[in-house]
Amino acid sequence: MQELDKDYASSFVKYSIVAVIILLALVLYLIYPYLLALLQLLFSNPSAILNTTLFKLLIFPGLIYVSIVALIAEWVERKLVARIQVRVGPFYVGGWEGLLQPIADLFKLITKEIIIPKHADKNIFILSPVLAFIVGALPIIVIPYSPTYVIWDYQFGLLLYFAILAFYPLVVLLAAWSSNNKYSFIGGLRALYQQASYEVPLFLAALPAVMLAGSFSLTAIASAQAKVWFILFAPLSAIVFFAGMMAELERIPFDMPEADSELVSGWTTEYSGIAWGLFQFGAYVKLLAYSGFFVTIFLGGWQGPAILPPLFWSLLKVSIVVLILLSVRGFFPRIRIDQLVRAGWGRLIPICILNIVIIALLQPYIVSILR
Amino acid sequence: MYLGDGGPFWFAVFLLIGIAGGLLFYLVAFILAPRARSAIKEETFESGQIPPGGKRVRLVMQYFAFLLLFLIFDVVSMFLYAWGASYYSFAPSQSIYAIVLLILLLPPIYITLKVAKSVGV
Amino acid sequence: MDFIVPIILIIFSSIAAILSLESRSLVYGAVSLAIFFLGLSLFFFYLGLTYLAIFQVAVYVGAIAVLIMFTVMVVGEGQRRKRSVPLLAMGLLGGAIILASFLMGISYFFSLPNPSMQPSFTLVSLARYVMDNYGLILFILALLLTSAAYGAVALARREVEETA
Repeated sequence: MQELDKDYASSFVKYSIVAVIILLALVLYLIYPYLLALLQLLFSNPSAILNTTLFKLLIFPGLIYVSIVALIAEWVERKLVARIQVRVGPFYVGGWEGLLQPIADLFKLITKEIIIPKHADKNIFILSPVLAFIVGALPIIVIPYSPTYVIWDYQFGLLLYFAILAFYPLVVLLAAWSSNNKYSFIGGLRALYQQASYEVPLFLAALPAVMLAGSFSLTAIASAQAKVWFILFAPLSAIVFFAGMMAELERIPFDMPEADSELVSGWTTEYSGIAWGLFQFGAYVKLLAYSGFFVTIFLGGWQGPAILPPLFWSLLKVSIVVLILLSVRGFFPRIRIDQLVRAGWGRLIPICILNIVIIALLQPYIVSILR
Repeated sequence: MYLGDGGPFWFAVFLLIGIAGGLLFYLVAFILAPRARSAIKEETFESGQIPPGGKRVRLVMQYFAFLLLFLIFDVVSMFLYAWGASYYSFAPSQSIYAIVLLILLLPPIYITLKVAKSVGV
Repeated sequence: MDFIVPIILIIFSSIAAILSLESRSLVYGAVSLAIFFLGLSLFFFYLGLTYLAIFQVAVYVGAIAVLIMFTVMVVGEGQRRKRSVPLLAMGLLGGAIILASFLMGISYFFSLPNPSMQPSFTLVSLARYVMDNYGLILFILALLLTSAAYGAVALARREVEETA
């Protein structure tokens, strides 16, 4: 047996304690006036809190909402897929039907030892789950759940969304390479090919929404669907976007990088404990971000009959999209890499282009309907 | 643009909270998790042998051409988004060049797929 | 006060660029190259060119940095070249000249009576202008890209055939 590498964990703990303290101090310094204003509103006019940006950032539709929904989505997925496969799913933990199972899993992962492989690139190995989590969580800033419930109504919201998601292949590549494992690296390269192949159909499928709304801002896109939802003008693009979404999230049927039976367990093989937990958590947060995006550009965001508030309609639509994405896992087999590449480049892109050309040629009629 | 009261400010705050949150996860884990290092635990996981020879290069370089193609399409979609944003102010006959550009994007894909199939990837 | 932001961004980008050339591991160099592209894109944000900034991130960091990192990881580390003082001196001189001209440009810009960070066109008007006057050039661009893609495929094909 060779001797061990130097103990990275102790130096990492020291540096990260300092980093966390500095970051939290910086955040508090930046937010301080808003926090004071929020506390004042708490005592004078509680219902106005819902309009402050700090509330939107932290609670809804920001961090706490996303975390809770990620945990619920984990439970729903396991129950749903279990019922589809004629078994029970989690039922032991928690009072009814295993509701506390995701929390139990979280505690289990936190208390598992983090093993850093020999000769791995330790800095990148430790930091890539954090990077994956951030890249998955950042896009929720621009997604609108109603005309007022959006953290940042950015003029180029759609482009910012794609710019943030363009970081993900980089993260996958870094995570796969830093494990110092030939199998994980090859699995990571295949994940990279999958991500790169399906980003182009995603870009092209979101183009009709920009064309029809005339703006890049997600709230403007959702507001422009007051008369007709964009999915009726661009059904092919919606289908392509849905397929591309499943591929970017690495969900079944595009599961090849994760559960590849010939390459052990894909590019996250060497990650144990909370490192792997952060990857999975980031995947569910990304699922929520993508579903919100899909609802905003194709299904009309918050538009719905005025009987119920717009917030209800947007949450209903996001829930339906998330449920469909979760349940697909029980129905389909896995796609091979060559089928995947052929489908992504050879079939999805021409369908997108067909839809764009149709919308471009039918411009006078569409303008008269929408305006 | 200075990080004043608007959007980029909250973006930066969100980013900082995200990084702090991720590192906090790790800190809690390093406190609660046991640490018993041994040489055998830190060996990389290999449940078989990779066959010797050139197979590994092939596995790695299989779809490299599609990465190059992705780069080209990324740049082209920049132009297409600029064209698409001006949708409400053009007539179909004026945007014939953009439509031809779109249709001309298809042959490279099919050539690449055909070459990939003939080589056997 | 207005001076501070571009100077901080320039220093940040320069440090990232120097790190990407001089770091001990090639993969760290590729990562700092990606950070350099990010710094450049923040500079475009500062100048008010938002569309360009976002696509700089999407194209350079999302595709080009990935390609460079892919190549470095697959091919592996090579031999480090030896340091040579004359080259270092020339490099420093060139960098100092570029930095000085950049600072002169910024101070000239701020000494104008009304420096405004907003460009005088919008994205839509720019798109209309390009389509109306340079539509044929877009067409030729498409032909060029098609031939470039075919060339890339041909090169990759020869690679694969040699090793198969």
